Amino acid sequence: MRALELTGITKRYPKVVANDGISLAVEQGEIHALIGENGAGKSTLVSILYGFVQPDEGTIVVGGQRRDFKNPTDAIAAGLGMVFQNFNLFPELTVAENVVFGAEPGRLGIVDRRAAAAEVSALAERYGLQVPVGKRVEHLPVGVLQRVEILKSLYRDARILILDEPTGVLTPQESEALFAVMRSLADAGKSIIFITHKLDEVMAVADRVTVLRDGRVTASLVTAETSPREISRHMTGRDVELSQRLGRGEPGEPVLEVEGATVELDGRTAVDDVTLAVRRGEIVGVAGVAGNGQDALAAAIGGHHALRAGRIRIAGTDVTGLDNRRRRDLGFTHIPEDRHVVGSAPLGDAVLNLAVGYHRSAPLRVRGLLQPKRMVEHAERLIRRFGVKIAGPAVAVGTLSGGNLQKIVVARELGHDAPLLVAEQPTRGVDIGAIESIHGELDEYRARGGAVLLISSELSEVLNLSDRIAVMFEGRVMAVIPAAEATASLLGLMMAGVPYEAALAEEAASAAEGGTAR
Amino acid sequence: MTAVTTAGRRRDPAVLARRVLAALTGTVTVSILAALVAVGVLLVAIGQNPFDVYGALVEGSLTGRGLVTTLQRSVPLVGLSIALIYSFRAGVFNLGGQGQFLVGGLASVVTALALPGTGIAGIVVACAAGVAAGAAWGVVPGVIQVTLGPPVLVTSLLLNYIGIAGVSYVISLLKPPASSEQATPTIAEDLKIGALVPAQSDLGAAMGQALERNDVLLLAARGLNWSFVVVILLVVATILFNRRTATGFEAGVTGLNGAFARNVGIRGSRIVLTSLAISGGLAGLIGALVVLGTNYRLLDGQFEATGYAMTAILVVLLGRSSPVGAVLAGFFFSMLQVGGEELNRTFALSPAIASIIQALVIFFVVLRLGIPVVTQRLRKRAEAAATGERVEEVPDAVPGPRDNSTVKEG
Repeated sequence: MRALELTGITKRYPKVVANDGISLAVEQGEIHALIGENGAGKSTLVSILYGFVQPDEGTIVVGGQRRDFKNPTDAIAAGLGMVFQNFNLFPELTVAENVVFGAEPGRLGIVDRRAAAAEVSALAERYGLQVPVGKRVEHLPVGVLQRVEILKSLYRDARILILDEPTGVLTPQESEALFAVMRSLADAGKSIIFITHKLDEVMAVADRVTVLRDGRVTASLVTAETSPREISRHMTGRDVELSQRLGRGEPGEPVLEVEGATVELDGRTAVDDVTLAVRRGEIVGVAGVAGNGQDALAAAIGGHHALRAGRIRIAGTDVTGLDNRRRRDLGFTHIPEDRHVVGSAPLGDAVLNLAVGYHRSAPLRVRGLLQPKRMVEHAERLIRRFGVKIAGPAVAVGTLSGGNLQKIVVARELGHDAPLLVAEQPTRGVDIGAIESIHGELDEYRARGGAVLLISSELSEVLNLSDRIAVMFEGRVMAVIPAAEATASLLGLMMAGVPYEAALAEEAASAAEGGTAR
Repeated sequence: MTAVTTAGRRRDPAVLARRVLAALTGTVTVSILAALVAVGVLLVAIGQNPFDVYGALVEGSLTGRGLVTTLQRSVPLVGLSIALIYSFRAGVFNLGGQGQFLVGGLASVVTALALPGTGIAGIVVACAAGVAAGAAWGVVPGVIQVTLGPPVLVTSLLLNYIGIAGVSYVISLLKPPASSEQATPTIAEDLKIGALVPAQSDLGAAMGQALERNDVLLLAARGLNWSFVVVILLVVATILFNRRTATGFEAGVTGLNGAFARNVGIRGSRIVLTSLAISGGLAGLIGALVVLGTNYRLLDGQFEATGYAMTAILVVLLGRSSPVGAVLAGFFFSMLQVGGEELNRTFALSPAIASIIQALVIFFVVLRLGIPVVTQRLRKRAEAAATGERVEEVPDAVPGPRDNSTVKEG
C-alpha cells in the first residue's frame, strides 16, 4: 500500500527553483532515503511535506487522500511526524512528560501522569525503543533524546516518520541502534523518510533511495540493486572518489606539542590532561562526538582559553602564556568550526576577509600604509588558487554558498603557508564538490610539510585524511592510534567512552563471532 | 560603506553602477523620502502646502546666509560624528560623546585662560589640552569594560552625567564673582580662532571690494572660521586611517565581527581602548574648537543645549559609520535645523518640524525601510529553504543598505 505520494512538487523562489517537479512515492513499511548534496532541495521538500512551506505546484497524497498542508498541524493530523536535527525537548521534564506534551492524557486540564507514563512505556515497548520513561531528559545521551523525539511522533499516531539527518549527532554505534529502531518501526508498518547525505547509511538501512540534484529527482533506486558509486554519480552528476585514502606524508619534527593540557570552563573540566603532538607533514585527526572537549582544545591551542595545567608548544616555542596574535606570528593557523560566526566577517567583502592576518606586513603594508590595490590582487590570487566561486573580490562573503565561504576561510588560512593548521569541522555542511577540494588542499598542505590537527565529527573524514587518530571522550584523549589500525567501529567504541584495550578486545570478540561491528 | 568594503573597486563601472542603484533604493534614501512624505501629510493636515514649505526649507538653508549658517553648524556636528565613527566602526558603542566634547571644551578654556602664550601656538596648546582631556575621559569606559566587564554602551552614557555635573562645578569655581552668569571668563582675543578671511585683513577688504555684499563666497569667508578647515582635514585623515592603516583596518574588521577578529589575531582590548581614546580625543578637540572659535568661553549648559553630541550619534547611524556618510548626514541634519528656523520666520511653523523630520528619518532607518529589504528577505528565505542552511541574521552595527549581489554555486 502506498503511504505517501508526491507528484510534480515545484517550489520557486526569486532566484532559484528549489524543487522542480519532484515526484516521490513511499510505500507502507518502507524506509525511503532521500539523499542529495546541500542545496539539492531536500530541506525544501521536507518543509513542504511538513506544511512549513506551500508548493507552487504539485500534489501530496497521504494514504490515498489528497492533502493540502497549511501548517505542520495539518501534516501531523494527516499522520506525519518529523524528527528534527535539533531536539525540541524540555530538559526539566521526564521522558514521558516530554512525549505526551501537548496531547496529555487526563481531563479538565489535569494531567494524568501515571497514565502518561504507562502509555509511553507501552508505546516504547511495542516499537522496541528503549527509553527511561520516568527520567528527566536533562542528562540523557543524544541517542536517547532522539528516541524520545521519535516517540513523540508515534504518540501522535504518526504513520510516516521523517528523520532529518538523524545520524549527524550520533556515534557509529548509536547510529546502528537507530537503524535497528528504524527497521523495527518499518516492520510494524510505519513508513520512514530518511534524509541524509551519507551513502553508507543509505546502503545500510534504506529499502529505496531517491536522489535529488538541483531541485530535481535524478534517480529513484532500490538499494539492494544499486551501489554507492551509482548513487553518488546521480548526486553529483559525475564520478567522485571520496573513500580513497589520500597519500600519507613523511612526518618530521613536532610542530604542535600539547602536554597535559587541562582547561576549565564554567567550573567544568572541558579538556582533561590532554597530551598529543602533530609533526611536520602529518595530519592528526581528532575523532569524537561533538561536545567532548574538541572545541575547547582547539580554543586552548588558539590561545582563547587559558590552561589550568599543562603547556603548549608551537614550532618549539612555549606559547602557553601567549595570546592568539603571538601564536599566529609563530605559525599557527586555524579553520574554525563556524565559518559565519568565527571564520569570517560575512558583511565584509572578500578583500577584507582574505587580507586579515596579512595586513601587518609587506607586501600588503609598506612603510606603515596598507596598499589597497595589492589587497585586491592578494584576494584575487587566493580566489584563483583555491577555486572560490565569487563574482569578484568586492562581493560580501556572506552572500556566498556554504562551500564557497568555507573555501574563503581555507584560502586565507592555508595561504599563509604556515607550519601549523588546526582545522575544526572543515567540511561541515558543504557540498561534495567543496569537500573534495578542501580535502585535496589539506592533503597538499601536508605534502608541503604542513602539520594539521584535524578535528572532525565526520568519522569518514578523519579516517580518510589522518595519519594518526586521537579519540576524545569527555575531555580526555582515549588513545592516539595510527590510522592504519583504526576502524570506524573501534573509534566508535572509544568515542562512546570504552577504553582502548577494552575496545580492542570487543573488536576482536565481534570479529571472532564472524560479524564485524559495521 | 567604508566599514564594509575595503579597497580599489571604484574603477569597475559595473560595481559602481550597482552601488549607485543600491544607494538609490537603499534604506537611507527611502527613509528620507518616507519621512518627507509623512511630514508632508502632517503639513497638509494643518493646511500648508508641503511643496511650498519644503521649498522654503531648502532655500532658507542652502542659499546665501542660510548656507553659511548650515555649514557653520555642520562643523561641530560633522566633527563629533567623525569622532564617534572611530568607536562605532570598531563596534564600540560610545555614547559618551557629550561628556568627551564638554570635558575637552573645558580643558581648552581653562588652558586658554591660564596660558601666557598667544597666537597660533596658544591655540594649538589649548586644542591639545582639549584632545588630551577628551581622550582621557573617553578611555575610561573602555578600561572599565576591559578590566571589569560592564559594557562601554552603559558606562559611557552614564559618564556623561558625571561630566556635565563636574564641568558645571568647575565653571562655578572659574566664574568671575561679579558676573551673574554661570560661565567662565572670556578668553584672550588672540586665542580666538579667527574667520577664514577676517573682514579687517587685506584679503578680506579686497574681497569686500570685489564681491557683492550678499555673495556666498564673501559670507562664507567671513562667517566660517578655521575650525571648518580642521574638520575637513579630520574627514580626510579619517578616510585615510580607515583605508590605509593597520589599526583602522583592524577596527573595521572588529566592528564587522568581533569573534572573527579575535580569531585572526586582532587584539580586541587594544582596539576598544584605541578607538575610545581617538574618539574621545577628537570629541575633545571639537569642544576646544567650539570654545575657541565660536563661544570664546564656557557657559554652563550651553554645550548640552546645542544637542550636537546626541545628534552626532544619529548622524553616524544615518551615515553608516562612514566619514563621507557623516559629512552628508551631518550637512543634511544641519540643513534641516537651519531650514526649520527659516520656516518659523516665514510660515510661523514651529522649528520642531526639523526635529520631526530628523526623528522620522532615523525611525525609518532603524526599521530598515528599503526596497532591497523586501526582495532580500525573500531571497534569504529561498536560500535557507533551498540549501537547508541556517541563514544567520548577521548583527549589523549600523543598519542600512547591503550589498545585493549573490553568487551561488552552479
